[in-house]
Amino acid sequence: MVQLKLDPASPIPMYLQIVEQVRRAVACGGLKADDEMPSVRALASGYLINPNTVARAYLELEREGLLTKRRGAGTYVSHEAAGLREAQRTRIVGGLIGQALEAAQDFGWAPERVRKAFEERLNHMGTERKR
Amino acid sequence: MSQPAIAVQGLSRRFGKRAAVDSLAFEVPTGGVCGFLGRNGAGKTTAIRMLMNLTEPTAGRALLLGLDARRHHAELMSRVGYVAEVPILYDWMTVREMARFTSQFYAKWNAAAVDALLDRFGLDQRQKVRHLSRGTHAQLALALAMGHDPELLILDEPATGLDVLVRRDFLESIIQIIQQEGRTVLFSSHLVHEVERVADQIVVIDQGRLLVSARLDDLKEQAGQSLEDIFVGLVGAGRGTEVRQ
Repeated sequence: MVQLKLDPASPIPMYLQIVEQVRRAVACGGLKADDEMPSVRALASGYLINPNTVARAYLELEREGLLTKRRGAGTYVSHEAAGLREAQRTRIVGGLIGQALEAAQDFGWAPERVRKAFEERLNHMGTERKR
Repeated sequence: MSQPAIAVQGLSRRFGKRAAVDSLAFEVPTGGVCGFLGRNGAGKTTAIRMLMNLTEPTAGRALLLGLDARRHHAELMSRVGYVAEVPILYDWMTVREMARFTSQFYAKWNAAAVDALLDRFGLDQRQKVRHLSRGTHAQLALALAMGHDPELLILDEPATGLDVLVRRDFLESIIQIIQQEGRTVLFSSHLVHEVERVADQIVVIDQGRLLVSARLDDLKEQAGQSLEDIFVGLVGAGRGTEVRQ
C-alpha cells in the first residue's frame, strides 16, 4: 500500500498532495498496475482528513488515467499506468529542471553558465555512482 | 445543483450601536464540512445562534436544509444537531441519565449510535457529568447532538480547551460523522489548524462581516499560501499592526 505524507498546514491543497504522491509512486514503480488503492473511507479515516478531499484526488487521478474504478470492487492502478509512467517521469524531472532554470534566470545566469553547472552536477553524480 | 444545507442571506444583528453580525451572506453545500473561522469576538457565536434561532436577527435570514430558521424552528430541531460553545449538561446526572434525558426531546432517537460514540470516546456511562474532564464533556455533547441522526451538524468552537490528543479524537469523530453521505457539518473555530484538516470549505468573518467564503483547496491554489498566512492576511488587512501584537 502506498504511504502518504500529508501536511494539512502546507500551502499545497490536500487533494493535490495526494495526487502528486500517487503520481510519484506510479513513476517510481511503488504502485503497479492492478494494485488496489485504499477506499476513500479508509484513507480519510486513516489520515484524519475529509473524505471529499480524497474523493477529489481519486477523481483527478482517474481523469489522468492512473487509477480506474472497477464496478463494486474499489479503485485500482490502471493498466495504462505503466505506459503513463514514462510520461510521469518526464513530467516530474522536467518540472524540477524548470524550477532550476527559473532560479538561474532570476540570478541572471547566461545559458552557458547554466549548462556548465548542469554538466558539473551530472559528472559529480557519475562519480558518486561509481563509488 | 441540490439546494445548499445552509444559506445565510444578509444576516445582521445589532446590540445597541454595535453590529455583532453585519449583512452576512454565504452558503454551505450539502455534504460539505465548513470551517467557520474568525478571531475571538468576530461574531461567530452570534451568527451560529441566529442559525439555531436562539438569537433574533435584526435583519436578513438563514435557511437550513431549505427551511427558514425562524419559521420552521420545530421541524429543524429534529433534523439539525447543535453543540453550543458551552454545552448545557446537568452536573448531577450520570452520562447514561443525560443521554436518556436528552432522548426524550426527540421523536426519533438512535440510542445504539449514541452508545457506540460514547464507547469510542471511552466514556463510562455510570460517571457523573460533574466528574468529566473538559474533553470528555465536549465529547458527550457531540455524542448527544448525534442522537437524532441529524442531517446537519452545527458546532460552536467544539475543540476549544481540548488537549492535542483529545482534539485528534474529536476530529476523527467528525470525520466518521461525515462519512455518512449527504451529511453536512459547520464548525466554528479561531484556530486555523483545527479547521484545515477536515474542512473543505472555509468561511472567514471579522467584525461581523464576511471576508471570504471559498473552497479551501481553491483558496490555497489561488493564494499559494498556507491557510494560516491567508487568514492572517485577511484579518490583518484592515487593522495595520494590531494583529501582530
